[in-house]
Amino acid sequence: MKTDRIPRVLVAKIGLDGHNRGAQVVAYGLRDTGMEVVYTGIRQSAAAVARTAVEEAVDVIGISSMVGAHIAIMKKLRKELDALNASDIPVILGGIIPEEDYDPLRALGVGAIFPPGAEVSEMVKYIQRIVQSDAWVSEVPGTLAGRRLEELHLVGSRCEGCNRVFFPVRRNCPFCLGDRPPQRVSLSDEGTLQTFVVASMAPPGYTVPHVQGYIDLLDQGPRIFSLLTDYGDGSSFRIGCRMGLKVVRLGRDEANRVVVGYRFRPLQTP
Amino acid sequence: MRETYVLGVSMTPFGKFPDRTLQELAYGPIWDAIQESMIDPHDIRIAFVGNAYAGLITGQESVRAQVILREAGISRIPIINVENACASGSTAFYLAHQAVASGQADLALAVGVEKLFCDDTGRSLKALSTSSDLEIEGRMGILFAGIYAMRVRGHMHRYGLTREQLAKVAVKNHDHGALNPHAQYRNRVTVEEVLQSRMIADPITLFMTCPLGDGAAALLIGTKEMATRMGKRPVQVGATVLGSFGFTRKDEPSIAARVARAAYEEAGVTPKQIQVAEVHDAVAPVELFLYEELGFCGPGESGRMIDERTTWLGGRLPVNTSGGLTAKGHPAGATGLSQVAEIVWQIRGEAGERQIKPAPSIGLIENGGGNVAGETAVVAVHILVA
Repeated sequence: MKTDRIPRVLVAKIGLDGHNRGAQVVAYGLRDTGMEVVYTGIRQSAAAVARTAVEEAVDVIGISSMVGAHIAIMKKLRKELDALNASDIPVILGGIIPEEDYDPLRALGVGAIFPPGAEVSEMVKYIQRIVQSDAWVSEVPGTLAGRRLEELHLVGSRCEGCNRVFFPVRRNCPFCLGDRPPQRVSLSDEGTLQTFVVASMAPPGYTVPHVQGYIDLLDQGPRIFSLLTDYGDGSSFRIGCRMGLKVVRLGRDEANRVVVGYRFRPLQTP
Repeated sequence: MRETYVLGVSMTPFGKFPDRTLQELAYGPIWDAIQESMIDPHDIRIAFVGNAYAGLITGQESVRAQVILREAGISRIPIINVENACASGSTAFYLAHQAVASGQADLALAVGVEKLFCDDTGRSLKALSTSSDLEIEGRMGILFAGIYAMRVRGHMHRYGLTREQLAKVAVKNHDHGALNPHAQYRNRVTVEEVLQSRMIADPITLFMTCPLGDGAAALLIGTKEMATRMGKRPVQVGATVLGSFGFTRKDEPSIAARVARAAYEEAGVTPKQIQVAEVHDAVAPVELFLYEELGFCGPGESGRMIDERTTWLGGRLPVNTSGGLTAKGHPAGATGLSQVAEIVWQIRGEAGERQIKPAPSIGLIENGGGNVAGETAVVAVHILVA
């Protein structure tokens, strides 16, 4: 199975366990298949691993355990991931794991276990399947982010020099034109309607009525041009009315990824 | 930079010419302009040809300028293809001016030509919608009538413009177009007819929109001596400024205001001195906020300007005496140069039934194109001075 999206994998060892040869073999092996691998090295805390997984936005966490502490460290890791609201990141385990521990480990959310003798290619297949089933691509590049389809939100760029915020994500600031790339920031999923149109004509490929608007995102966010949706007969539109983000699925691309787009819909005013 | 002058100007009538090719359309205006200029065509040192959509309408994507000038017999010299959406013609004008002003050439040809009408309206609309960032805003389905409708609605909300005021601009431009033999629409309309015509993109109705059409325009830019030799009132290029989208924030002046300000500065004139203007009324009501952005009146005062008939022929500052894009038509690449032609004719007293009396001495042209990052992608403002 092939995927256009490059999987990001965290390979980590937690606690007093210096047997790092296996973890390194896996890390290099995954890297050599083209995955992005973050390797923590030995003697990490569960909290640090969970934090790294979130900060690096990895698709999967691979834990190596050789000294029999696997159930204890999985309990800790689970707690830390839950605390970071990141319980959905799949965890896989490799090392010396007795078969009688497989069930309790699965109960702790371990997705797959790779004992001694397992081939790196098995791990590659497993990881690609994880990425594939949930892989998505944005209709407009650099506009949506989130690890899972259910959690997508708008993203933009904030220039640290002039503090301007841009949408979609940019590689530079067109005002400062400095060498520091702008910082990627999450944007509000609500805004106010600046103006709108309900057109009785549309370019080929779009349905009529063709309904669009400019939304000024909350918190001084940028102005976004968007198709509007869920507007009933259109009578609820008022300049200044509150609008909310709606992420819509538009189908799948050639690589079987879900194509997602952003739309805005009127929010009920209380 | 030395002074530059507009020499001969010419255009075809705008309309639907399914049987005429781009090169056939451009031939007449090119040679009319050459003959009027009283120059030796061998002295043309550089040519700029504006066209926006031939690649998508006729399939002639590359070397359009060379193909068009091949028919006209202009060869060997530098020939530059110019594409800046609906401001392609103005961009060719800007470049021709720069070539002469910088001393690179004494005599430069600017041509604008477009065939937008084809049997398939969807194809024409799709071609127009490519004047946006296809990967970003283009994914939302760009319809220019819709973009303008949103701006007009925002303006109505802020300043209380009425639908009647929007319609009056269409009435005025149709009145002017009725006097212009080059205009695609020569019928007059009433406020009621405009408001009752089919709704395209509320508040924009059918009679407020410009037609799809074909046409060409051409002119020569040269030196003061050449202009004097013509024996007509010399028309100097006071300013030609080209500006682009600027990630403009809502509290900043729009692209049109920004470019106009630079043009006034370059020409050393104030908005109050402008006596005639051709502006980019792709839908008629756009004219109203252009009055404000170009400094013809203060913010929110444009409704009163149209009510008081200030911009009608006979008013203090007639706008779009040609009929504007609304009535004269809008074959994208030809539009900018046709606007320049109208101002030149007004200044020379050659505007026929729509002539302003006495002939004006300072005129302004505003021409826009495309949409990028939430605003017009390119705006050109030229100021011509007798």
